[in-house]
This record gives sequence, structure tokens and C-alpha cells, in this order.
Amino acid sequence: MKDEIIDNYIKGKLESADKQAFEEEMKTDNELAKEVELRNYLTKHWEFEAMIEEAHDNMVSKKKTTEDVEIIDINKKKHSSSNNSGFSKNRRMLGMVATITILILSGVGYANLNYSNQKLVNFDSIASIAPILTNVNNGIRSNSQKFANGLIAFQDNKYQEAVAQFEGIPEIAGDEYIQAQVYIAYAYWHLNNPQKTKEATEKISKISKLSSDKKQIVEWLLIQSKLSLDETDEYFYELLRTIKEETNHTFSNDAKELSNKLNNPWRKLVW
Amino acid sequence: MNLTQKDINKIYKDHYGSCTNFVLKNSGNQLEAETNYKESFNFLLKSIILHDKEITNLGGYLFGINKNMWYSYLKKRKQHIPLEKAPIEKLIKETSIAEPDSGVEDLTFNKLIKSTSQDLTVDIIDESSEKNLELHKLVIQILKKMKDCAKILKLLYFEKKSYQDIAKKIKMKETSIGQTKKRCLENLKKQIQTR
Repeated sequence: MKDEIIDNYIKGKLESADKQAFEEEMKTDNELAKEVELRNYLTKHWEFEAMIEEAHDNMVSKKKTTEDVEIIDINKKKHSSSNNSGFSKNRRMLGMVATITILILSGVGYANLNYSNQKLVNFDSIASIAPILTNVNNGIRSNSQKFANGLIAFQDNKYQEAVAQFEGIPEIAGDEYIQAQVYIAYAYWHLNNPQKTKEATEKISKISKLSSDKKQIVEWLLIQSKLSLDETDEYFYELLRTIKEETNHTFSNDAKELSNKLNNPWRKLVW
Repeated sequence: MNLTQKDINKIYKDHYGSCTNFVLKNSGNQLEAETNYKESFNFLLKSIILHDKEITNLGGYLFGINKNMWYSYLKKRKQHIPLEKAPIEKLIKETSIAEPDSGVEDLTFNKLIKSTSQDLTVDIIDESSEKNLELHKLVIQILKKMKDCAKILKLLYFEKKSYQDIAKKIKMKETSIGQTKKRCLENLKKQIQTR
């Protein structure tokens, strides 16, 4: 009963008269006062935690907006400079040569458009996830046995076992759960299962409080798995563009390179 | 002192760089630097809002907490702080109180604050702040260890959920929520008292 009253007091659910009586009681009952103090301390701790998260998100989103504006400005400059300069004679000549070359090549060979995006999967960039992930892992302050077992299995290249261990970590484990999910996605990649990698990354993408390191890894894994599955849909291109334009993104350069390759019309021609 | 979310956003942003850089330069990674800064900032808010502390130099105070928290973490990780990090390291060594079970020497909050006065003018930290900071670190540590308990208590007090909602969310029987909560609070109190 007393316990319930304390909780209601903390939650601000006591009627005015009851609240006053309770506060009077606290003045004489030291144990009760301590009990209230502890619960109040915890409540404030989490309230401040939420305020800090909001401040952090606010700082990150503002930084991102500034970067976006800069990118738009640069694009504008590029656009306006090309408009002003017009076509020079040399450019016109180059254009003609290119057109003739295309016509000749089209005539000589038969273009088979059965090209595959899978050939563009960048295994080197995927390999670079491992050290980033290790670095991210250093920040986790945890002693969970399942997580430790998962890590050991992962490091021993026993990916199936790692997945089994990481999958046993419940959602309430917070940071550790998120970390485990990232490892699961990466383990599926090592198991040559892009479908499962994609599913795992899509699952992680729905987690709202994802740190930027993990978010970057997950985004790149999603790009590569979609590429492996030949699922270069609208979302794929949108995500690729975001990564490319985010200058601080670990895989920004890889995204630029991939984007260039995807936009290159010649790669579509298989003779 | 009243602080709005807007004030908090500004203070957080203003001191983020200096505090996280300190951790990054002292064998920490980005995530650790961020976690340490958030935990230090939480204590700053507790000092101002919960303990009514008047702080004249907010930046210096926050920087001092950030340092203290980081050294405590390093000590737990049993990592030596590189000696070349002098003069701070030198000052720490000079003013330290060695602990028998630790490879890294300890320092009190006041001494740490004094030692950082070379790079920032810091607020004078009194004994009560030092005690409060120790409690703050302890609570963080306990909540990390007692993850399931922390989840229930957070849902109950911070999110103000009913036993029924909590039971649904964490897939537990409604009748056992009250008992678990009681056990968690007792455990928490016991751990705080034994330190």
C-alpha cells in the first residue's frame, strides 16, 4: 500500500490533500524520505537522459542541414557556371566524335542488355566494416555471456554459431541488442546470404536510436546486399545518393564510385 | 535554476567538441567519447536541477566532470593512461591516492579539477559535488549491470506506465512486476549503501 502511494507521489498522481499529508509524513519518517529520494533520483536520471538525447539529435540534425545547404550551394555553382560558359568549339567537336563512336560501335556489335548489378558488389569495402565494428564494440560496457560468446564465434569465423548467440539477446538489452543485430547482418554477409543480410539491415534501420557508426555500417550492408540481389530499386538509389552526399560517411567515397559505375552506360553493354 | 530544452541544446552543443576531443586524445573512441560526454552532461543537469548547485563556470565544470568520468572508466578498463599526456598526467601522479587493487592511480575530484586549471578556468568543486558525482557514477554502473531491472524501473517511473502495460511490453506476468520492482529497488539500495 505504502509502496503504491510512493509511486503515485513520484508520478504526480496524488490528490492535493494526500500529497500534502504524504510530504508531512516524509518530514518525520527518514526511511520514507530516502525511499522517495531514490525513486525521484532515478526518474530524474532518465528524464535528463531523454533531454540529452534530444540535444544530441538536435546538434546532429543541424550539422546535417548545414552540410546539405553547402552541397546544394556547390551544385548551384556548378550548374550556373556551366550555363554561363556555353558550349565551346572543342566541346562540340568532342560531342560529335562521341556520337559517331557510339553509332559505329552500335553497328558493329550487338548490344546484349542482360547486364548484372551483382558484378558491382564491392567486397573490399565490406571487409573494411570489420575494424569499424571492432571500434564500435569497444564502446559497449557489457558483460553479457551471450554477447561475448557471439563475438568469440564471429572472430573464429563461426558465423552460424555467432548468429545463434546474438539472436538470443533480447530487445531490452538496449545497446547490446542493437550491436548484436549489426553483427547478425554482417555474419549473414559472411555466410553468403544477401537476402538474410538485407532483412537484418532493414530490421536494424527501424531502430530509432542508432549511433552514426552503426547506421553507416548498416546502410552500406543494405546497399551491397541489394546489389547482390539485383534489387536496385528507387530506395536503393535514394540511399546511395544520401551516403554519397554525406561527406562524413565512412562509405561516401565507395558510394561515389558505385554511383559512377551504375551511371556509366558502357557497363550495360555485354558483347 | 530553470533550464529549457533549448538551453540544454545550446550548452550540449557548445561543449561537445572540447569534451569529446579530450576522450579521443586519451585512448577513447568516438562512441566512448560520446557516451562519456552524455553521462557527464547528465551529472551537470543533476547538479543544477536536482542539487541546486550554483555554477559560475559551466564549461569548466562540465569539462572537469568529463575528465573525472573518463579517468574512472579507464581505471575500470584497467588501461594505463599514456605518460606523454602530461602535464595533466604528471599532476595526477603528484596528487594521487593510490588504491591497492588498481593499476592506475586514483585522484579526487577536487584535485582533478585543480589539475585541469591550466587549460580551462574551472569552478570550485565542493565536497558535496564530489559525493554526488560518485553516486552518479555508481548508479550508472548499477543500472548497466541490472539491465532488466533498469528497464522495468524506467518504464514505471520515467515512462509512467502501469504494471499492466509493463507486463505486456516485457512479456512478464502482471503479478510479478510489483515483486520484481521491489526486489530491484532493494538491490539498488543495498548496492549504494555497501559502497
